[in-house]
Parts: sequence; C-alpha cells; structure tokens
Amino acid sequence: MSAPPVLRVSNLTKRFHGVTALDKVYLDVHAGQIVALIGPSGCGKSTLLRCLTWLEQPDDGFIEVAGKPLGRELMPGGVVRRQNRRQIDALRPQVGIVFQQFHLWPHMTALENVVRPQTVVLGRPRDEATRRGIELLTRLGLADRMDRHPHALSGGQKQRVAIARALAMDPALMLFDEPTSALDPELVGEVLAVLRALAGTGMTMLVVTHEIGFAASLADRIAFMDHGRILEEGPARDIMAAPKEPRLRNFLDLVRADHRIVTTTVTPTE
Amino acid sequence: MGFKLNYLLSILPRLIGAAAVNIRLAVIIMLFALALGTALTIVRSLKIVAVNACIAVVISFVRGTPLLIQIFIAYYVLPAVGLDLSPEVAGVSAIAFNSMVFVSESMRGGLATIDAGQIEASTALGLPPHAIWLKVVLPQLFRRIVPVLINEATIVVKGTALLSVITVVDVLRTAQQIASASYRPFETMIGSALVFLVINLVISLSGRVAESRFAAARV
Repeated sequence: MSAPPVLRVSNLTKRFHGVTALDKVYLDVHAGQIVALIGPSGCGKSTLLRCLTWLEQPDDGFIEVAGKPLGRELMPGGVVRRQNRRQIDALRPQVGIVFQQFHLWPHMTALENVVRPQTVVLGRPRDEATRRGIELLTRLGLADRMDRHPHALSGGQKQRVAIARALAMDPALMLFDEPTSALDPELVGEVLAVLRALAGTGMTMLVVTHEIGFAASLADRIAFMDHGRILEEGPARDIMAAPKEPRLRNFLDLVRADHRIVTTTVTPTE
Repeated sequence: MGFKLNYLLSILPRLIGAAAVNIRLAVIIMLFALALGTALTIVRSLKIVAVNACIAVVISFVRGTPLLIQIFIAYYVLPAVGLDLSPEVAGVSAIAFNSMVFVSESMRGGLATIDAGQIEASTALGLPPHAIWLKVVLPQLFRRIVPVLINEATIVVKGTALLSVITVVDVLRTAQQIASASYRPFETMIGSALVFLVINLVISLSGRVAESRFAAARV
C-alpha cells in the first residue's frame, strides 16, 4: 500500500436548514496531484472547500489531511470524537486556502501579511519568517511590491500575496476557490501560469472552478459535482473527451456552447 | 464690574496648575474606558444571550441618566454598600464607566464594517481567537473609530470639571475658590473655560493628525 493520500474525504455530508449541500462526498487527492472540482453554481463546491478548512462544520463524514483526521475522528469501537478548536487550529496550517476575494489584512503590508501568520501560528522567529516571506513573494514576482498595502495592489497581485501567505505555512495541500472569478478575464492566463509554476514544485492542489478550459489545461484529474455529490471523477483528459455521466455531458455541452457564443460575439466577422 | 485682562492673566498660572489634575484624571479615565470598552465589546461579541441582556440594561442606564448623577452615585451611594471611595477614585470610576459604554458602542458599530472574510481567512490559517482579535480585528477597529475616540476624549476632559462638585480641586473648583475670594467671577470663569478649550483643541488637532496618517494608509 502506498502513502496515504494528502487529502481523504469520506462520506462528507452537510445540510443547511434541511437543504443538503454535500451529500456523502468521497474524494482522494494524492501527493503532487492537481484536482479540479467543477460543477454548476450551487452544487456544493465552495461548501466542500469551506468544510475542508473547518470554516463550515460538516454534519457527517470524515476528513483526513496527510493521514491525520481533521475536526472529527473515529475512535476504536466506532466512537466519533469531535476535536476542540485547539486541535483543529493545529492542523489548519496544513491546508492552505486562497479565497475568491483573497481576504488579505488591509492594515498590513504585503510582506507583513505573509510574515505575521508564521510568527503567530507557527511560532517562527521573525527573521526566519521574514526571509521566507521575501523568498515567496520574490518567487511570485512581487519583489517590488512587498511594502505596499493591499489597497495599492492589483487583483492579480493580491491573489499572489494570498498564495504566498498560505504557502508560507508549508501546507500539505492548497485549496483555491474560483481563482479566476474575481480577476479580469485577461489575467486568467497569469493565474494559470502561477498555478502551473506551483504545480512544478510538486504542490498538491484542489481547485474549484467553473471554467472548464482552465480546469482542463491545469488539472491532472477532474471531479464533477452536482447537487452536493461528486458524480464523476477521473483523469482530466478522459473526463473532457468521454464523459460518462449524462449530467456532466450536459454541463460540458452548456459551457462549451456558452464559450462559442462569447467567441462569436468577440469576433463577429469570422 | 468690568472685565480686567490683567486680572485674568494673573490667575491663569493657578488655573493652569490645576489643569494638571484634570489632564491626569482624563488620561486615567480614557485608559480605563478603552481597556474596559474593548473588553466589553469582546464579551458582547460572544453573543451569550443572558450576558448581553444584562449589558443592555447597564448601557441603557448609563446612556439614559445624567453623568452628574452617576458621579453622585459613585461618591454618595456606593459608601452605603460598603464601597467608600476617595473623591478622585469615585469620580474616575464613574466617568470611566460612562465612557466605557460609549467606547464599546462605537466599537460595535465599527465591528460591523470589518469584512467577515478576513476573519475567516485568519481562522483558516490557524490563528486562535485571541490572536484574531489582537492582530486582525482590534488594530483595524481602533483606526476606524479614531474620530469617535477623539470626540469621547474631549467629552471626558469636560466631564472632569463635574468632579469639582465632589470636592476634587480641579480647574473649575480652583476658579470658584478664586472667585469667591476676589468676587471676580467674570475673569475666573472665562479663565477656566479657556483652559478647557486649549486642552480640547490640542486633543482635536492631534486627533486630526492621527486621522490623516491612517487615511494615508487607507485602512
């Protein structure tokens, strides 16, 4: 048996006031993989990401990060034990998340945004944290933006600061919530380049997106979600070329048709 | 009885000397008000229904009754329940308690303007709740309510004049003593008013400097 997956989600269920947002979700993400999670809006993609950082507490099921249970663990004899905040916080740095709106701290410079969580959460000495912050921001092309506050950064730059902030915690897994949606369309290529570079370092990633092209060009595997369930999951090429699930086929047809409309309106002469 | 500028100038040194008392008390009161107001805000944010109901009663009492009565309660009523406070301690307690409520109310208003996403991001990074308050929420909150705090500080400075009625020898009481000896209330009252005006102008100006600095950082 090989090493445990970096992320193992089993039987994860979440209900909001009787509405099932996640319905017995199973998902494994192995080291170095990039998994794109696609699906129509409201299908539960974002809820799943929020559960994976315990911002949302699932009603049932288990999450394992690098072999360690997060939030709730199964004890011998079938007893389920809930972890306390301290135990959950200890595991949270292992799961880096980059939010759609980035959520940087506006009262700190870009560098301070990256340094502060290292000193506060990991207890790193300030020099070491600063060195790590400078290294990450430089790698992400922000060497000349480190002393700026978030309001003085563009959307793409803010996103890269948010990525650096999460990476500085040395996570086992990075989660991205719709990384292209809050940015101008011409920046999509840039985001793709950043995520590809990240993949080059062997980072394991789970990327929620509704952009099929983006998912297809980035991911090793694609998981399709609808009505809170993962309906189909497999190698990206297979999913794109030969989707088995009718709802996935429908979804792909829809977004592809949509894409054609966009293309024809942009270049009406062709 | 006319106004004599020379007499005003001659009593100013005594009034300015007495202003040290008002300034000292105002500083102590503001420090307590900030610390207690912050603590009260954090307690209220826990949203414990019974606790918040009690706090709401206290707040409506503080807001709905005159500060002077609150000072009298601290000085004349508390001894009846075994708390015999000196005039200064009673006065500082009453005004600090009053000011705490206003600080907490403005902090609560500021809290609503801090984007919840930032707090979620902090939580997801593994920051414990106390670190989220100290490193993320409070620094932003204080910068946002600087104008309100400056206003509150001027109110507190003026409030210290009320302590003259419970025998604290401050600017106003000094002025009254001078006036009753010289029968010249005109200059003495103008003089004490000028002393308060100068203190509050200094506070307002330094507040404006702080505001423009925070505005430059746009937080």
